[in-house]
Amino acid sequence: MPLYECNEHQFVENIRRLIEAGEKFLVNRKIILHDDAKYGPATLPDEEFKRYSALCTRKSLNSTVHARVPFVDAFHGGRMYGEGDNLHSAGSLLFPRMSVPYYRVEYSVNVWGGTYLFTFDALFDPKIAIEKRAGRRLGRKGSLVHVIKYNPPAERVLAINLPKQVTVFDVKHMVRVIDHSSNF
Amino acid sequence: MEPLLEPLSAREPPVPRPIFILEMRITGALKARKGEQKLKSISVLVPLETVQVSLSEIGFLLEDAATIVADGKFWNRLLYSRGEETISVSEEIGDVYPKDPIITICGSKNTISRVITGVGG
Repeated sequence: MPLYECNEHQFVENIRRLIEAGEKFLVNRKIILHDDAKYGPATLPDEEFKRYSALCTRKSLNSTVHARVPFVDAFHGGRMYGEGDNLHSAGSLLFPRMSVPYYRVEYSVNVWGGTYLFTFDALFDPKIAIEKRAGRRLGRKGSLVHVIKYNPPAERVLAINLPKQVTVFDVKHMVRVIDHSSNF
Repeated sequence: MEPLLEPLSAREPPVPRPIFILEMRITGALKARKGEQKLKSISVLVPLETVQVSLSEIGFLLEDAATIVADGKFWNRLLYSRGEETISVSEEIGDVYPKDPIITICGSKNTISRVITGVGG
């Protein structure tokens, strides 16, 4: 079965054409949390990096990112970074030490034996606060330290707006069956 | 002596006037059309500010925003709503040229045409 990748504009327009043609179809949606260090601060565009500027600094896009102040990453089990720590090296952009979790969102529709797919990643929103924390590096009594938390994006902003007559099924995994019948 | 009013059960049901049936049909069709949602996605070569002004002029309010990555590019995804109608606007982040926000409209036919006209489509 062929798999066709679409961008958002193409995917929505394809669905519109199916609705107008009176075709019966089902849209599948898969939303899965990933925390595989795919996105680090060095590769974020400047506009997005500004949201982290209270904690870290860099010269430009894809250059090494260093911690501006000591901080705790609450999402990753309270991982602590010291001032000046290398958070994302320009020499190893694929392996950031500080990473941003994200949702992998996949929309797909199966028609006439083909699967039409639209995928995107939605980054979690960083929230930076100053909190009192205790620990090995912060002392037993605790002290004030910057803390970064990541909030997941709201589901409504991840959803493709579809008319009520379109049914959307949430799925965990899509098994792609290879159809060899055309070889005979 | 016969009663002045005959009992209700004995009365014939009122015969609807043809014009009344037509009025009901038109009203029903209009109501159905008003609630019917259409789908449209457009890509326009206008700045995001122009799109935002156009949407606020027709009463759409910003509900939420998220940063997404699609096709290897970072995008700002903004969600606007007005009642049950929703519009999402995705614009690429950074100094890229050309800037062509993708507008996805799920709403009435009238809303779709007003948005397209508003962004110069």
